Amino acid sequence: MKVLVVDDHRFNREILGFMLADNGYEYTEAECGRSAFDAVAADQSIDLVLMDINMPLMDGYQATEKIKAYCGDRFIPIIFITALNDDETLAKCLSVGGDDFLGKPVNENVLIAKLKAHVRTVRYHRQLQQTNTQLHHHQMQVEREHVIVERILQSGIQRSDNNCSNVKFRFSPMTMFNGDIVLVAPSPSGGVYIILGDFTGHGLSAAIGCLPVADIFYAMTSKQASVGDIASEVNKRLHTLLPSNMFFCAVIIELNHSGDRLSIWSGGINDILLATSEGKLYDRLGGQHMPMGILSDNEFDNTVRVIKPPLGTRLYAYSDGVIETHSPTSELYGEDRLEALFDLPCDDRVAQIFDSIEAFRAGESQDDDISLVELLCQPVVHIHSDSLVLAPLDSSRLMSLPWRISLQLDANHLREYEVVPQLLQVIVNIHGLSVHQDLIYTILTELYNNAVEHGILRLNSATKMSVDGFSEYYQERAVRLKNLNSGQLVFELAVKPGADGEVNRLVFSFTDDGPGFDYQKFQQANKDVDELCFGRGLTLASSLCDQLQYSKSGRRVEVVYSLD
Amino acid sequence: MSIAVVSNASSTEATLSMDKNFDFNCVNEFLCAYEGADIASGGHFIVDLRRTHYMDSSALGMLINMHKFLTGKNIGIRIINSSAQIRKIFTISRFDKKFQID
Repeated sequence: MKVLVVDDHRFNREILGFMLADNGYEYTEAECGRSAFDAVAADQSIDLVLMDINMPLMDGYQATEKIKAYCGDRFIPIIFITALNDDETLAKCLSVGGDDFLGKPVNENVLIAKLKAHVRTVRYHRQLQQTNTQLHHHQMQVEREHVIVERILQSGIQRSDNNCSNVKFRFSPMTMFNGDIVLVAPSPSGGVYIILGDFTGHGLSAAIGCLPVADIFYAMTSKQASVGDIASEVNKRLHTLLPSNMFFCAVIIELNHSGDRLSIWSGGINDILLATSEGKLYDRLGGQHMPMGILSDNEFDNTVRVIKPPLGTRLYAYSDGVIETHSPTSELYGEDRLEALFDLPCDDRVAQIFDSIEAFRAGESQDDDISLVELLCQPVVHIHSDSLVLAPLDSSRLMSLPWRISLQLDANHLREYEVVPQLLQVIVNIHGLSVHQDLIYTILTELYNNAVEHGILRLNSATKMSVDGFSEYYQERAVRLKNLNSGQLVFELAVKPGADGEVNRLVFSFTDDGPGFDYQKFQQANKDVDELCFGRGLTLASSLCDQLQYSKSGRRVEVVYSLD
Repeated sequence: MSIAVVSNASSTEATLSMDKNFDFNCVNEFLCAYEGADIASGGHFIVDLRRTHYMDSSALGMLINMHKFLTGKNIGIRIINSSAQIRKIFTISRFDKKFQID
């Protein structure tokens, strides 16, 4: 502990110096206010100042003001040593920033007692300062981390590539992180999926659970999984992931493409409301199941409710935050208020409900996340959705090497192997092909089956005229294939890169060693096959590609397919 | 290849859930599925193509046969959850005129 003694009289400084040294204090001296200030500024180890008042150049008051202003966060108690003990002087000592005073002549015991008291204060102050610095540092770190986590959550959860005009939703998170989740995804068959859910709690711990839910939801909806299967999968993941006091109340909805069939799984969520096309409430769907994340996979019930609402029906699902909003008098918003809104005509029900909640809260702080979704049951329209279109990918114009393959299949191969899936595996690696793969599979299957069934196995399609014949035909196919020991089928595939902005093309052919057939006659004879259960294969294949041509008396068929 | 068949309690509706490939390999199974399901007159079958990626022309033939079989019994067919690719095949074959396809 180092004390600065300020006095213009050497004698006074020495007396104080003795007392300090006697009691184990380190000390240094200054002869006037100005040199006292310089000493404090130059020496960071000075902890306390004993200050005389009347001195030349700069008096004790001025020096105190300057030192206090200079020190800022560095706390140095200043004790005035004064012979004057009138109230005015003492008051001034404190008002210029002094911390205490001591009368002259100085009593050693009192001096040391006061020093000890002030040293304690200095120590507290320093501890506080240290804690403050740590807290500040910690806060900065948390904020930085939150910004990062928020970005991860947002990009992991929300997707902007699809927008379904049947769905309207809004949410209002209570904090930076949302424990509610609303996700919308198109189904491959043109319908739409929605999940609306609410994790126990709010803030970061609740929001973190949204990530696996979003992952599962997007992955499974893109494969057209059923609502029940999605619910099972989400439950399974959350059951292993969440601590036992945390769970996920949610509803998962699928609306089919034509907008007249709803599949719903709901667990632990508020009643789902159904309103007529005029906006009148006509039904509520109560909760069916327990929330997700509680039951193990084999206890979990994924039964789905299917309803067929009249076109124009609007469905509403919402999280707890809606009806648990508090008014300034601690009253709850409640279901009745919500349902009463449906008696009022309204163009934008979602906005109306949010406005109503806002007005009810009347400036009170929000105490839960609030989310609401509206689904209009009519033919589903996706905006900017790329899932339904065979997207004109740029990759179709990517440079591709002009390569070709040729495959000779003998009876052995035809008998033992699944030829078409293997061919497809090769073809799929061509640039820009993935979006065409399903149609190419169909074309390949049709041509391959024609070649095998008629060219190699010599089956007659006329057998398929009757229902029994249809089955017989395929039974016979299996028998003949099993016993096949001669015959040859050649498959050729060439990639023709498009020149100057043209799209790449695929040319492939099958050539069999059978008797061939009169394809011109066949094509005329099969113009109207609507009632027949066969004869569509060629028509189908040729309408899926750019060009389909027979040659070699019908033994060879060649197809041109543009990868546009 | 497997087709899952689920009928409702009142025997007015049965759902046939098709597998990944709907092709000639399931001719018999498909036939048994709809001939075996006990659906009352006035009811209907749902052919669910949720899991189906590929379909060939023999599948179209199977559907035509199913249609013939059921029309006399006054039982309807609905085809649901078909992907864009499969819908294209239905459209090309003009199946949308004869079948209810969602």
